[in-house]
Formats: sequence, structure tokens, C-alpha cells
Amino acid sequence: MLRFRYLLSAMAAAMLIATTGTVQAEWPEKPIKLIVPFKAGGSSDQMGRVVQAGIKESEALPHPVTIVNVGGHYSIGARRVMEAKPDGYNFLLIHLALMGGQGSGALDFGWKDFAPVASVGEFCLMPMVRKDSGIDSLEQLLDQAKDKPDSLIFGANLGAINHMGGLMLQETTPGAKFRFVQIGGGTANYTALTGAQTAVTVLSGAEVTKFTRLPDGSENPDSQIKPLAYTGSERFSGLPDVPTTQELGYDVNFCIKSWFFAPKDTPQEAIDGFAAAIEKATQTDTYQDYLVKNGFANGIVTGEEMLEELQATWDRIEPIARLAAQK
Amino acid sequence: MEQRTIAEIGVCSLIIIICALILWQAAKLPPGSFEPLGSAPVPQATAGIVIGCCLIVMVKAIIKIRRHHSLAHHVRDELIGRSPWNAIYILGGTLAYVALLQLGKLSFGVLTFAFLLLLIMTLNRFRRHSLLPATITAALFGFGIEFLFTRVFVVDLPV
Amino acid sequence: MDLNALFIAIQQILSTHALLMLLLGTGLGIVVGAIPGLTGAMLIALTLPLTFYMTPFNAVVLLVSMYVGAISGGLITATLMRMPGTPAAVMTTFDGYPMARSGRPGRALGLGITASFVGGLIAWVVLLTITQPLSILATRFGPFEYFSLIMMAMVLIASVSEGSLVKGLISGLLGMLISMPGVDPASGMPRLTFDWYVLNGGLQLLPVLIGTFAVSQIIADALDIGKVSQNSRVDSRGVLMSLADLRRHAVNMIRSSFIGTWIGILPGIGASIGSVVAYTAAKNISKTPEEFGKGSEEGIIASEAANNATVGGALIPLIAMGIPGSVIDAILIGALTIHSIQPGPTLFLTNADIVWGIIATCLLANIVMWLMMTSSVRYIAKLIYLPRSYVLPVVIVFCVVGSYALNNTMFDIWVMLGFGVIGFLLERAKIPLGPFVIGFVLAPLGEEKLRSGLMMTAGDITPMFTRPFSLAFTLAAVVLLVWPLYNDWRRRRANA
Repeated sequence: MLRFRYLLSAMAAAMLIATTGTVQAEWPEKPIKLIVPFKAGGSSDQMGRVVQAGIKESEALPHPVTIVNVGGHYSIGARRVMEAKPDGYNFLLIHLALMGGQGSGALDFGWKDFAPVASVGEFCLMPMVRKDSGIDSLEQLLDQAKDKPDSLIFGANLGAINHMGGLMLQETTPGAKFRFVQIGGGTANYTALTGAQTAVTVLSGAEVTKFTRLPDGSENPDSQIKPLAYTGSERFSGLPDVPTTQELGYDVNFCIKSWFFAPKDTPQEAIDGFAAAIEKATQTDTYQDYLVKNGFANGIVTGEEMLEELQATWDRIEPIARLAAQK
Repeated sequence: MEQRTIAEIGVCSLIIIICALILWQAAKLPPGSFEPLGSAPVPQATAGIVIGCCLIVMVKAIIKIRRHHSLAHHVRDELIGRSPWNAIYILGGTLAYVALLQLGKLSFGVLTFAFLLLLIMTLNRFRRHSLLPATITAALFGFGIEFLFTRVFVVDLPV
Repeated sequence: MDLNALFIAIQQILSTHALLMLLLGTGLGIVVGAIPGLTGAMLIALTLPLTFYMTPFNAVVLLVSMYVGAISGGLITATLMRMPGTPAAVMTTFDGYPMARSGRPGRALGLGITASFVGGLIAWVVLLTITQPLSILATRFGPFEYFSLIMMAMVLIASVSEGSLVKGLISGLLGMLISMPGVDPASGMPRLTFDWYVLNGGLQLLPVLIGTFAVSQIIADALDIGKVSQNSRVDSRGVLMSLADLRRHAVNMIRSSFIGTWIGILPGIGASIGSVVAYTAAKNISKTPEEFGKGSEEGIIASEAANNATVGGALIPLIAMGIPGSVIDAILIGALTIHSIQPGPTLFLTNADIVWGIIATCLLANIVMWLMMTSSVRYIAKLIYLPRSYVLPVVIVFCVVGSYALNNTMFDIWVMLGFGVIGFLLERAKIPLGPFVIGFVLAPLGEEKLRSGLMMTAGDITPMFTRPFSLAFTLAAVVLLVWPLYNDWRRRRANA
């Protein structure tokens, strides 16, 4: 009987703690949850963990950041943050997929339903073909897509970033048309292109370096594939010989950043506090090392500036995303 | 031989309901735009075959009931026998436990401790000599798992 | 092949902190693998952040040994409680559990452990010798090859299911159907979600699997709690396989290991399928196919040799090309990237020590696993006699934590409970559960590959019969479908 009474008092004590912990004092007064709506190990998860480590290393916050990987479809984790209590302890790390899903109609919410916190780590894409394809430039590729529409097999993850990247390229040349085929993410497309199952795909700058270069930066003779252009506004530091799409005369800019969001109505104090912590994290060696290794651009954008940047991205992406849903 | 005809009929009806729900959902899907199949036909065909197979099993079961015994005989054979109470305690206890976790009012460790203690005691019919081992087991796993996940792995448990 | 580098890596593991990592990783892997509800993938995902503070070498040693341990540990609960500790051990329940129930738990565990060891070893030799050509061959596998391979595995459902063929079909197709809600693999749009966003991610494998196998078994066991265990004598003889045993099972063991290795190499097709294919191959070739499902030694060996072989197999494309062969490998790639090591075709050039570390760990962890498990099997086997009234509630807690921890959603816990009830009901109606899981795992892949293939050819299916590998798999599927029927017919004719 004694034990049972102990159990009861333990339960009562726990309830007391659970109900009295909501008094607002100086932010933050407990660990901060960063929801990554993807499985552990992916590129968003890595970015989250590097920022987490950077915040710890720079002692930017008195409490740790815990990363919560919400698997399944990314909309589940994103919606969870959107509906979370705006108490300043719930944040979301996501990228362009959010706008893609909104534009294609796969999601019934979007970036405007969140409060922007910070955007970091930009990377852009490279259209890739096989070395034995006889295609040597972006112009030749698009011409072939125009002369023989719907015959060049483009490996993509339908509805996702690489699909939208391909559509954006195709839209520059009236009449050009790739045949989009469901293959998957970067690694799967590298495999399919190497195995000559597909003819074109887009990979990130870091993926291209990883798959086609030797450690000293020279070209790997065993590699079967080559990049044609870079969709950033400046040349990719890892592959300075590859021209940008704008240099080639195509008005294409297709870059992806990591976005930190908070639920709407989160106190400004928490938003600014977390943005400042992320900024400090980006100055650590851990983060800088990671950037260089993965070909991400440096820099952090917050506040009003981020809102403008998001709006500009949305204006570019929405028509493409709508196209991705149709075909 | 053990008869399962009542179970067969019941389970097959349940499966048919699931299939019907999926067929209803699949009917709303647009045709494919990337390839001729699209999203709908594969689930539709699968659901159709399952319904067919279920009907076969049900008809066989009904024939069996008609031919050999009366319905009452089957009911007696299948449903009466082993006492279902332990299974009901476990299932009901687990449902309550998960529902309380979902509410998030109590911490994982406390809830798990209470759940384990109560369930183990119930399954042992509140015998006195099982109180000590039950408390130890409940404390060890309830608070042990909480410690392991929140302190060592630094992940969230359903709070 | 650079044997010198291998020896250096082995030496480095045995003489530094890495040894601790090896023992810790393998041991934890076995324990977590054995607990129904917790899987190797979860252990490795949760350990990932802890490895940030280690050297990259120690980190891979820890993670790879967890991988090996977890795949092996699954056989313990599969054999003793009919609950697969990990998805890969589903096939082991079919024969391991009946054998354990008939009073030979030691023998059943011993067979599984040794088969695991041999499977791991054979895959390791393949990993060491022909990594490069095999992974290039794997890139040539297009959608049609995958689809025909998956069709072949689907046909195996028919041979796996004991009893009525119609019921096997219901189970397999129901599994396929349950896998379909969520984002359509071939168009990126949600479907069959009842406009409920939680279903956008579909039903995840882990909660469905824990539900259908572990929770349904808990419900069934609860009905028997009051009864005294029928076989009160622990017989743990036959733990070590004799030479005669080894000779008798050698062909099966080697065949199953090669099947497992090859299936491991193919990206996206995991250990569970490796053991399904090896099991059914063994059953179709066996002289005593009627023993399968009732405690066949061959069945345990085929399943366990194959699922351990997939570990080595899945590492082949990872090392050679930077392509993950399994879910766990994808997490491993994430771990390497965070340590600023880029897995890719040039991994051997950039970080040879890491590669040799992985290869050496794969060997050493298998040896450690075998030593740990054979030396403790006598005690493990006694777990079967722990009072169920204590074990079942604790297992439920693990199932709840396990379902939650992988994706951090409460929804997964409800899915697990729901499928526990469904699994229990299916068993009551004598509908076998094996085909259900196989269908659930294979259908999304099969549908995606078929539709990718049709996208490539603009709706033309003929490549399935003109591409050599694809044709071979299609023919194999037909043979596998017809062979048991033909055998049956011949036997009946001989009897008549």
C-alpha cells in the first residue's frame, strides 16, 4: 500500500511540474525544438545538425537545440510546426520543396503561413549529360529537345526540385520538351545517367564534384557524365570552368536555400533571438567547413530582407510548380 | 479440426469495407499525365481482386456452415472457449496509455511506470507477491527508457 | 585488392578505442535488434548525433558494427517469441518458432547464428574482391529489370503462404493495397489520403510491421497467459553446428548468401526481401518442402544467411559509387558527410582508411557477433520461459517507443495498434501474415518502377521481354509460379 501511495505522490508532483511551466520569462528558458521534416541523414538533416553544433560551439544560446526528424512526407512535419504553439520553442527547417508543393497544389498551405526566421546555405543546379551523348553545350541540349521533342529522357523526382529545375530550363526555349521520368533524388539520377537509362538530369554543384572529380579537383577519367552549365548567378567555386546559364544567355536562376521558419505569431523576441543564434553558428569553423565541402554559398538573410527574397523566389517558382503538376 | 468460418466471414467483410473505401478514393484521382497508367488503376485493380478473393472465401465458409452444422454450433466452437479477458486488459490498457501520451499532460516516464505497474498487476490478478517484481520492472523500463532517450540520445519522446 | 591496407585497418581497430566501439556497437546492435519494436535503423539514426564527437574512423566502426549486430539480433525474438526483432527476421519466425516450441530453442538459435555468420562472411568476401564490377553492373539495372525482379519476388508470395492459395493472395494483395495511400511514387501527388494530411506520408513500414507481427502476437499470447508453458525443459543442445551439419547445409548456406549479397547490392531492396527470396528458393529446391513452416532447419538457415549477407552486399555500392544499398547505408552516408567525408566513386582515393575501416569492421563485427551470440545462447534460450505477464507489457512499451522514435509522430503509434488488431484478426481467419508484409514492402517499389519504365518508353511494355536481365527474371517468375504446381500435380498423379 505504501508503494501505491508513493506512486500517487510521484504522479501528483509530475502533474504540478507539467502545469506550472508556462510562465514567460527571458527567451529561451528551455531547449528549442527544430523540426526537420525529412529522415535523419539527408541534406536538410545535415544542415540542421551542423547549425545545431554551431550554436552549441559558439554558445549562442543558453539551452541546446534539439532536432526532431519527422519522416514520411515533408508536409507532415511542416504542418506540425505551422499548427504548433507559437511560444518561441518550435522552428522548422525546410527548402524550396515547400513552395513546390504549394504551387503544384499538393499542399493546402505554404510559406506565407509561417514567420520567416533566416535563410542560409545557397546551392544551385547543373544540367548533366553523358560524355558519349554528343551534346557539348546547353544550347545543343535545348536544341535537341526542340528538334525532337519528348524524346530526351530527363531523370527527375516528379514534383520535386530537380523536376522544377528541368522545367525551368525547358521553358527558356519555346518548343523544347524533355520526357520527364520518375527516377528519384541526386544519387539515383547519377546512377541512372551513368547506366545510360536516362539522357539528362540536374545535380547540385556538390554532387557533381563528388561524382565526377578526383580529390585534387581534376576530372575523374572513369566518370561517364559531364555538367553543361550552372544555374547560379556566379560560377560555382568547385567547378570554375563551367559557365553560368546567364553567361550563356539564358535567363535561368535556380538556387535552393535552407529556410528556417517559425509558426505565425511567434514572439518577435524569439524570432530575432533564434536568427541571431543561427548567424553566430554560421561563423563557426564547423559550419564554414561544411559549406566549403558541400559547395554551399556563405551568407545569411533574415527579417524583411528574407521576406523579399521569399517573395521573389515564389514569383519565379509558382508558374513552374504549376507546370510540374500538369506535366 | 478447428473451425474458423465465423472469423472468415467477419474478417473478409472487414477487408471488403477497406477495399471499398480505397475504390471510392481512387475514383476521384485524375488520369495519368506522365504515362498511360496514372495513379488510380493499380490500386483499383488490386482492390478489385481482393474483393473477389474475399467473396470466394466467404461463399466457401457459408457453404460449410450450411452443409455441416448449424450456425449455433459454429458460434459455440469459435467464440466460446478461451477467456478473452487478458487480451482485453492488454489492448484496453494500451489504448488508454497511448491516448494519455497523446494528451501530453503527464511525462513519458511517469505514464509508462503507471501503465506497466497496473497492467502487470492486473495480468497477475493483483497477487501480493508480484507487487515487488512488478514495481521494479515498471520503474526500470519506465524511467530507464525515458532517461536513455532524453538524456543519451537527446530526442523527444511523446511527452 | 590491397590486403596490406586491410591488415592495417584490422590492426588499427584491434589496438585502439575502435575495439571498444566494435564491441559496444555489435553488442548494442544485437540487443536492439532482438527487441521487437526497436530496429537497427533506429539505433543508428539515434546514435548518429553522438558520433559527431568521435573521429570519423571510430564513427564508422561503431555504426557498421551496429548494423551487423542488429540484423543478427532479430533472430532471437523471431525464434523464441514469433516476433521478428527486425523486419529482416520475418522469415525466421516461420521455422525458428515451431522448432523452439517443439523443445529445441537452442538448436534453432544455433542454426540461425551460424547461418548469419556464414552469410556475413560470404558477402564480405564478395565485398572485398569484386566490388567495382558488381556496382557498375547494378547501374545498368533500369526500371524494367527492377520491375521484373520485384514480380519474381511477388510470385514467391504464393510459395511462402501455407494453406489456401486464395487466402495467401488476399493477404499479399491487402498488403499491397495498404502501402498505396500517400504520395504517389510516380507523380509526386498525394492519393488515397481521404484528404487527411497525416496520410500524405503513407503508412510507414515499421509501425505496420510491428503491429502485424509483434502486437498481434501479444494479443494472441495474452489469451494463453494463465497456462503453464507446455515444454518446461530447456534443451539447448546442438547450439554449435557439427561438421556433418555444415556439410549437409553447405549448398543451401552458400546459395542463400549469394542471393542475399546480390539483393543487398540493388539499391532500395532491403534485407527482408533478401531473406524472402533465399527462403523460397531453398523451399523450392528442398527435398522436404513440406517441412518448411513447421520447423525446417533449411528454412532458418536460408533466411538468416541471406539477411546477414545483405549487409555486406549493401555496402558494395556505397563504397564503390557512393550509392546507398539500404536505408541504414543512407544514414551511414549522412554520417560520413557530417564528418566532411564525401562518399562517392572516389571514396577509395580520398579516404582509403575509412573504406578499409568499413570493410574490416564488416568482418570483425561478424566474428564478434558469432562469439557473443554462441557463448550466450544457453541463457538467451531461457528467455522463452520468462513469465509472459511481465514480458508482454514491457514489449508493448518498446513497440510504442519504437513506432514513435523513427518519425516522431503519434500517428505511427496508432497505426501500429490498428495493425496489431488487423494482424490478430487475419490470423484468426487463418489468413497468413507473411504475404501481407511482402506485398506491403514490394508494391510501392514495383509500381514506381513499372510506371517509370512506361514513362521512359511512352507506354511501351515490350522492353520487359527484350532486355536480357528483365527477360531472365520474368522467366524465373513464371518457372517459380509453375514449378510447385507441376510438382504437386506429378505427386498427385503418382499417388493416383
